[in-house]
Amino acid sequence: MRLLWNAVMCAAFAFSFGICLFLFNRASRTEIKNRLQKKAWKDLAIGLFGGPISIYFMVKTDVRGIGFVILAVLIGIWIAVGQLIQKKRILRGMDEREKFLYERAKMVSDSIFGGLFFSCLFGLFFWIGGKGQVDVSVILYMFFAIAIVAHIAQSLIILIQLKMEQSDAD
Amino acid sequence: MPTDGLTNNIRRLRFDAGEMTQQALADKASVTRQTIIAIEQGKYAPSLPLAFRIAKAFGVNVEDVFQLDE
Repeated sequence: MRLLWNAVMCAAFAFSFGICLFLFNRASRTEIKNRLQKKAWKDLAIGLFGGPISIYFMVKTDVRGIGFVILAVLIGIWIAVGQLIQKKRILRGMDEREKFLYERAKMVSDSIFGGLFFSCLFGLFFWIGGKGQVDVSVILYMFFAIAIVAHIAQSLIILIQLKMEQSDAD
Repeated sequence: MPTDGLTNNIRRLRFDAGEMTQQALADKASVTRQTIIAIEQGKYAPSLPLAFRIAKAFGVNVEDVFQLDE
């Protein structure tokens, strides 16, 4: 059973790695000159490939005790500081319309994240409701999983907006 | 950004400027060609600084490029 599980995971990684290569190749194509479009394709690749892998290893390593606290603190720092620094870096070199499209996609993805996270969190507690216990690490895994979904959604929203504009222009 | 009744003469001004390409205008206004396309089609309302840069690229006043339909 364990062997089968590992085989399934390996196949899933190989598949997502293939998708990642395809998306990176697409992002680096010379005809795509739009910085925002390139970023969206790369983010999509990272979300589809990097996200599941990090979740898998988090679950696999089964972080406990002080390791869990350190991980939670790192996530907190990432949310507080990382987002601000990253945002400045991302927006550099974009024109005002690209910034506007990015901000709009970010707003939607933040809403998706907030909505999903709180729904899942309260849903989880409601479902457990005195029937048993759940490990605190589940919340962390849930946070990561939903953050990845929101990240992928953001990339897709940017790409859809750009595609719609492109088709309008044609 | 919704245009809220903002119209423009960019297409005509480009024609008057010797068929200036969208890319040439984009380079002069320091934006991407896609942004010029969106503005020209009335799908995006530019900021005030960008509106001035576009007007400057044509050598006209802002109100000669953009008008507000009331």
